[in-house]
This record gives sequence, C-alpha cells and structure tokens, in this order.
Amino acid sequence: MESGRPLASAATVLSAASLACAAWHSDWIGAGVAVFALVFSAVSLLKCGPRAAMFCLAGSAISLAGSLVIGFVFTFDLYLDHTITLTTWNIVCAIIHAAPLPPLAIAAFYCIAAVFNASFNWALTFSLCPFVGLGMLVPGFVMEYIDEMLGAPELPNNAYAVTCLLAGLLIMAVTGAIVRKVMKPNRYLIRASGREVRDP
Amino acid sequence: MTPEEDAKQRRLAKIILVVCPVSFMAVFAAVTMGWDPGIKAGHPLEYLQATCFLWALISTVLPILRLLRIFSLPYWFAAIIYGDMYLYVLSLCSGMYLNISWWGDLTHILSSIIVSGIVFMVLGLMHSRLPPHATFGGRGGFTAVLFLVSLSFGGIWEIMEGMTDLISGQPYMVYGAKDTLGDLTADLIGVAILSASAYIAMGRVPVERIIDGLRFGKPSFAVDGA
Repeated sequence: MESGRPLASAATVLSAASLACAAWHSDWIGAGVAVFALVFSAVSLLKCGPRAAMFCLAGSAISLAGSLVIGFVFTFDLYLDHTITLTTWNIVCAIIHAAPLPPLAIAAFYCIAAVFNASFNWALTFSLCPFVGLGMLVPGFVMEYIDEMLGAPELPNNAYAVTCLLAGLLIMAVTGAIVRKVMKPNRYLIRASGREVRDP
Repeated sequence: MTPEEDAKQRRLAKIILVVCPVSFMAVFAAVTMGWDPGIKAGHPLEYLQATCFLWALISTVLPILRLLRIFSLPYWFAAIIYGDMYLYVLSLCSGMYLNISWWGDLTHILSSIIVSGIVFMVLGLMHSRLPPHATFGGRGGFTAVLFLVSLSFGGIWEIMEGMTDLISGQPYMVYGAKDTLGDLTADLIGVAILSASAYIAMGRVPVERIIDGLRFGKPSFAVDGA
C-alpha cells in the first residue's frame, strides 16, 4: 500500500496543477476532468495501492498536458486569427479533453473498490467503463454554463460540446473493448487490495 | 409468477400496445390538421410530426418486450416512464419548450431522474445476478457507480440531438450552445437527486426489494405449473 504513495502524491500535484491551469484559461471541460483526476488521486493517496496510483498519475499527467496545450498553444485565438477553422479547433480540443478519460475511468473502479470494498470483474468493468468515462465530461459543461451565466463569452456554437462528447464516447468505447481483452482472459478482478487474479 | 399475474400483465401490455401509439398518432394528426401552438412557438411542423411518430414507435417497445417474455419493468416505474413520454410530446407540441424559459430545464431534470432510475434498475438487476467474486461494494459503491454511469446519458442525449441537427441540416433539437450547456446542467441536477434518493432508499430497503417486479430473460417469466 505504501509504495503507491509517491505516485499518488505526484498524481495529486499534477491534477491540482491541471485544474489550476484549466481554470485560469477558462477551459472548463478540462477543469471538470481535472477535478475527477484530483479526487481519484486524493483517494488513491489515502486508500489505494501502486496500480491505482499509476492510473491516477497517467490521467493527471495527460490532463495537465492537455490543459497546457489548450491554455498556451492551441488557444481559441488561433481560430479568431483565422489560422485554423472552428471545426479543427473543436476536434483537436475534443481529443485533448477525452484523452485522460481512459486511465481515469480505470482509476475510478480502483477507488470505488478501495473505498467501498467492491470487486469488479471484467464484465462489470467492460460494460460500465464507457459510461463512467463519458460521465466525467459532463461536470465540465456545467462549469462552462456557470461561467457563461457569470458573464463570460458564450461558445460560438453547439459543435464544441457535441464534438467533445462524441470523442469521449468513441475513446471510451475503445477503452471498454481493451479492458475486456485484458481482464477477461487473465481473470483479473479490481478489488480493495488492488488487482487480483480470480481462482479458476 | 402465477398464471393470473401473467395473464394480467399480458393484458395490460396489449392495452398499452394499442392505446399509447394511437394516442401519440392522435397528437400527430392534431398537429397535422392545424393544432398549432408548437408551430407558432417556432418548431417546424415536420419536427413535431417526427417527434409524435417516433414516440408512437418507442411506446411499443416495452409492451412488445413483455409479450415476448424478454423484459418488464415494475408497474409504478413503467407508469412514470410513460408519463414522461406524454409530458415531453404534449408540452413540445403545445410550444412550452419555447414559450416558457425554464420548461426545458425542468423536463430535462425530470427526464434525467427517470433515466437515472432506469440505470438504477439495470444496475440492480446486475447486482442480483453477480457471481460471488464480484460486488458493487454496498450502497455506497452502488451509488458511486450509479452517479458516474447516469451522468453519461445526458451526454449521450446531447450527442443524439447534435447529430440529428447535423444529419438533417436543420436546427431542430438544439437552440444554441447555451441550450446544450443548460441541458447538461439540468441532467447533473437530476442525476444528483436520483443518486441521493437511491442512497437513502437502499439504506432502508434492499435493492432487490426496490427492483421487485423487474424481469429480464425468459426464465424470469416462467409461469407456475406451466
């Protein structure tokens, strides 16, 4: 249990940095994902082993990288300057926002297992994984809505939201298939103690 | 189940199979023949017609599944689902979505609660059939999974709305980015309400009791003495 602490600590720091960076640049979808990364990292720090911490670290690192890219490199100004089209900006941002979801969805199962003493087999993980991942995008849109209600500029059209959600759904569907491919033949279980192999 | 219970459920399914599609098509006919508050509010006629027709089709799914002995919901929950269908279609055709600023948010919260209820039912069914080595980890773990999974359906609905408009080339279902954000916010509120309610309910009554009446698979429809 102890050996996961350095990884979980690093994940907590990275996810907090990602949240700060995303919030600073009003990238609320990224901020919403970073909140989940931060929560799972904190739970992992307190309750989980190294494998859960590794997934948290991966999710947090990808989330931070995405926040930095959207905040400093691939900004909305590129569209306003006519450097890129709105469609290109939507698609790239959608992929960046969806990228941290796979490790975070796996981390969610580890954290729930650790906190509530659950045990997830391949069937549960495979069937629920796409929904768990996609659901993590939704609070970011709520933060975006609140920001707009407080006077921030509105999104130019609906395509940004739909593209982000669609990218999340597709990426998580592929993740679900990969999870099944890994967990089922190896008889893996995600439990409070970490990953275990079920007796035949 | 007893033969009487089976006969009663099949009779009810046959009634729903006739009454619901006919009533939705009656709304279709009314809209086509000039009942126009929805059109005056700003909805295109073909959108209202398509909505009535699609919900007429969708309303047949549950009774058909019951008659084929594949799936059935508890009475009380099926009644809530059908109530929400009528609320959606009638309020859309009477223009309430465009005439009353908060109506869309309210119906999204209600629909989100119901969709989360369906997720609850499905998770409950999975819970009752899990092998010994798998568990959601009590009501806390169950609620955490319920919350995360239910959240995604707001996103899936918005994808469907966006794709409908993209494919049709007309802004039928989306009234701008702020509408989508408002819908997702309402969905989050609905999911939170249902998740909190489910957590409290599971503290008082076991999941198996709450989903009593939910049947899935032909063996669950086996009639006593048949």
